[in-house]
Amino acid sequence: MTEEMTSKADRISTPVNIVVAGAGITGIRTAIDFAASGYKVLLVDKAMHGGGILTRLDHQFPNDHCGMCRMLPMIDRGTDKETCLRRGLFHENILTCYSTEVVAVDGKAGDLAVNLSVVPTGVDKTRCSGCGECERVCPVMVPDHFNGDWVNRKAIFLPTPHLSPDSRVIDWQACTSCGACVEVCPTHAITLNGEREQVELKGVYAVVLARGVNLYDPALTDVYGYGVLPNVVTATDFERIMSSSGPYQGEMMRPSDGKPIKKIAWIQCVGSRNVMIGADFCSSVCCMFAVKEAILAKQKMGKESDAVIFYMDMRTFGRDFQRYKDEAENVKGIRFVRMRVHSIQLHENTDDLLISYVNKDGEQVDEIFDLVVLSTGRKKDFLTCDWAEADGVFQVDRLPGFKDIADSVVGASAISEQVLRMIHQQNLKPDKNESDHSPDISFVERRPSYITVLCDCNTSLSNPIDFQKLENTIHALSSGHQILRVEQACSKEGWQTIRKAIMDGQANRCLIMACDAAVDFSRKREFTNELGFPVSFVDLLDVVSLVRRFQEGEDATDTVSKEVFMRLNRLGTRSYASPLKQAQVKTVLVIGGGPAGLQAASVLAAHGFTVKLVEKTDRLGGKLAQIEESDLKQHVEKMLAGVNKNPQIDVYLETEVIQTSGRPGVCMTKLKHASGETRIIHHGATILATGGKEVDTSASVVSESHERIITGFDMDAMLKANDSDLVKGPVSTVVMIQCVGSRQEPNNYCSRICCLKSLKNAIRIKDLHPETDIYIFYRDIMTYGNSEILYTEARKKGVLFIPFDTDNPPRINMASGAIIIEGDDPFLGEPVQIKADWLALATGVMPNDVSDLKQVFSFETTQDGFIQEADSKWRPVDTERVGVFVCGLARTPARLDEVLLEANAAAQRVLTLLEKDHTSYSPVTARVRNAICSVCGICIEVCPYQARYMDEDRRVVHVDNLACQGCGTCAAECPNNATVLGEYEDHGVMSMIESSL
Amino acid sequence: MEQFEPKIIALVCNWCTYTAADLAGTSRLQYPANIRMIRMMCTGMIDSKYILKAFLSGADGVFVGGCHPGDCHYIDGNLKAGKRIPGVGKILEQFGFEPDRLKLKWIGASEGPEFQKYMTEFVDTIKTLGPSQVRDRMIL
Ligand code: FES
Repeated sequence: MTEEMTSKADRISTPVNIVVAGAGITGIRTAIDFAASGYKVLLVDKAMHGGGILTRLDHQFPNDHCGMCRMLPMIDRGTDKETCLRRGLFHENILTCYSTEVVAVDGKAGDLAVNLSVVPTGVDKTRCSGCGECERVCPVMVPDHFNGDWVNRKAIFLPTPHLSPDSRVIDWQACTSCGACVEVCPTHAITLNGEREQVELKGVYAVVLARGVNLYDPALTDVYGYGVLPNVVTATDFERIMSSSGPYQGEMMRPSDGKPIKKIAWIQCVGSRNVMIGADFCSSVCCMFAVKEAILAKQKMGKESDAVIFYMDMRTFGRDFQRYKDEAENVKGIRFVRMRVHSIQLHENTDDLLISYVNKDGEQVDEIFDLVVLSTGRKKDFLTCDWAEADGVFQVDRLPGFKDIADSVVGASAISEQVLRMIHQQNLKPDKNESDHSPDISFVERRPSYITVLCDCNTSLSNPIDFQKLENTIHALSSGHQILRVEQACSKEGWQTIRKAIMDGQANRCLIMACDAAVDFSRKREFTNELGFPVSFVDLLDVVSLVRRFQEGEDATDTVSKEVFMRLNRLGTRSYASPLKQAQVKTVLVIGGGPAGLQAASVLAAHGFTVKLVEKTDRLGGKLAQIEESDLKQHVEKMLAGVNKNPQIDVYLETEVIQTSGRPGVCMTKLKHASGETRIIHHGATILATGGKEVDTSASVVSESHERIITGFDMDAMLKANDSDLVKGPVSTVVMIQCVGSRQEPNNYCSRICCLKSLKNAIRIKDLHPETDIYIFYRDIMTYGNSEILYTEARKKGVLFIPFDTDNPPRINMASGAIIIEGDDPFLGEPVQIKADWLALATGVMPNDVSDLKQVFSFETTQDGFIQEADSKWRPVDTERVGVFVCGLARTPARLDEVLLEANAAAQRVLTLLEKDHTSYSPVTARVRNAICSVCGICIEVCPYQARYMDEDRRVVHVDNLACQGCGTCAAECPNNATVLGEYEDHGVMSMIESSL
Repeated sequence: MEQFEPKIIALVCNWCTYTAADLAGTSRLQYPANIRMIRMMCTGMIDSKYILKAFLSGADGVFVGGCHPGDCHYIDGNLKAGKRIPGVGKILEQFGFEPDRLKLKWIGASEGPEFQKYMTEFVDTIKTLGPSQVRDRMIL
């Protein structure tokens, strides 16, 4: 269903259950969530392409990898094309439509009328062969914004480099309507009419608003000379300089003169954290973004290169970010300079850039850079739309901000869950999938009889193909091969002709040679469904792509014949086994009765699942008492009461999980009560919400205890008690020390909550006792996102902030009986001594011990004992074991609101797995031929998804069909060829190899 | 004498490297026509025998391309290939064939230019090595 519709009629004829507005990471994630549950999704975006800002980046922090494809469905893999997401999103239940906006939403949730405004692309995708002639002849040149405006592009162009099929779109603002492209297009796919079309959809269940953020335009703050000085670029533009798909093919050369780049400066917080321009927020990702860019750039620039980051606070607030930054600094040699750069100048008569600053020792330093990167974040204003508050509209973020991928993915799935909850409560159903047809077995099982379809578009290629020779090759395979020439395989008529030929000729294997337009993923599905063929019995050969690497005019016959020969051979080896369906147990085991566990349990119960909530201690609620946000506290209290009354939730207190077996969808787990009594429960999925605790690391800075040296948590509690000394006063001086025991080995991670806690405590004290002096010793204040306002407020109220380094932390001197804090003030360049009435140590959090559970569920933990998710960016609430999910403090330090979102996201992942009564699995799944299996167990060891297990009694190896992702490593490693991967059986691959030569 | 045009099989993974190959195509980066590309889901599924089969069927060179370490869609299939495939090179060597006829490279989704470069280099290498003897000498 992925083909873009350009006409109203087409669109209306397609049922749409859910519209997702915004095709960035968040939109894509929600769309996949809905699609996986069988709902028809229309994914729209105002931009000309999907993927948002991610399309411009090749690598993510903190692992310098991509991994976007890991968002694709793992259950029902066959519903998706299984290809790099940069090429596009191809799912049978998702229709993508760009240059499209939702303009109005009316009605009630569950039955909405949605009005869309569509700007045509100008190119009919169903006809375009992707030959690119139009782009070649287009006379209009405009700056290529995607690539930082350094190079030009045409008015008809490919909006992203990887796009597939690669049909162009017209930029109507640039187009002069000269008509050159129309004339040259061999398939008459271009219409020069850029007029908006209005489309109304009826009966839509919900609309998801996944608006992204606008990037800040640094030309607005002229201090850094963006747009005036050469070689001052933004961080996102810099990604294009580094990318192999960028304007310089990944060569590190600078835009102004092509000089090799050897020395780069990053300037943080451009357009963010600046009250002067009303930007009282942190853009959250730019610090890590800069660290990543610096690491990658340094790698590319090689020896004798230099990368410097000028920053105010290094906001490494993700679980793995501090170690990443430390490694950048200590191992990779990235320099970090704490300094708000005040201006950039041109160096003499060159294009080089000069930054002057005063270093730690008070000396003036002039440094010359080849390039300066401005770490620009989001724009101040949000993207607004009038229908955002309409009934049936679910907003991913009410206050959008820039977010790390993991947080976006979590936020997205949490919204999917809410939408599906509404749908379930209203008892609405997904539109039936036309593609649920099962193939006609009698037909399929007959001996292979082939037909090869040659589309005439192949004759218009710039590389000649000798058709006679090609036909001879095909006939040489066997005389029974049928060959059909059609005029336009992509057209309706062409389609009918092919269909008829197949029926008449009783063929049951079909190879279609055509262009991109005809070989689209969704069309293939439609085609095979109509014919009653298994999808794998039809192969589509995109000849245009195949010959693209040739020089113009070079004869392509040989290559094409070989390819055809290879494909036909492969088709011959294909067989069909009807997919087995597996029933699911609609019960979920939730381990941990803290806020995360309660949230997950209540949500799943609301979807109609039975929940078994297991808690180690004798009560639910976790660290409820410590929750300070009153609305969240109320929410948790309400859940607590609800859980106890809910007949769908069975609570097991003082109980532990001691054993589990089974596969995703059907598991059996043994619980043990403190009394020793055990019981077995059956369930389909598991959520680990084992939580965490505050960690008192005060001992790392104070050797003896003192009643007025407390933790930030204690101070918070005291400030809530009206009769405490802190509230009653008088209080003359309060000192807080941040990162006590955090962000350095052995607990080298940011706990995320301590800065906020200290700031809130400080503000509360200032409100109570304005005369109190408050000093906060800090390393980096982690007020990411909109919490930056707390930092601003504290400073406004007169709280003093004194930064320190780990090598020179403040010292606590209690020799005189008083609490004296000694440190160095880098701004004054002098030592400071402060006598405090109260000293609050900001200690962090750590996960609860899960070593026993780790044995039971065989998941991994980080070096700090957090549960390791399957992928820290793209699959944050999955563990590597399919069907076992994780959320909350068990996985990462987080604020309570973030914990609750994670619980929703984990519940959503459960829905994807268990919502359908049966789940079928992809044909590309491994199986074991027991007769020749020697039960050596190598395959079990190498399987990355723990999809294999040994049946010890029967001495056979089993494969979990749902957990298996079809990577085929087991088959390659099996010493006896006992393991085979569906559709990649040895004989098929071998015959393909042989015939390709 | 007619110039030697080697027969080369490229086994590439479906995710990153195939995307890079496709990108090379869309970007009109030309590379030699001698290469027959076969798409596998992951380099982790490339059985040693597929490579031997290619040589025995007359390939002059075999190129294996996969995602960069850490980028494999299936977590670490490429690392497993990274162990397995050099082993096949050793076998070739033991039998007296040039190990350079087999090459393993990591190519990311955006690395169209790199794909082109590796392909061109590999074809050049094989051209200097000349036709492979594996087929003639191993099949009795
Ligand atoms: S998916 Fe590319 S190497 Fe595994």
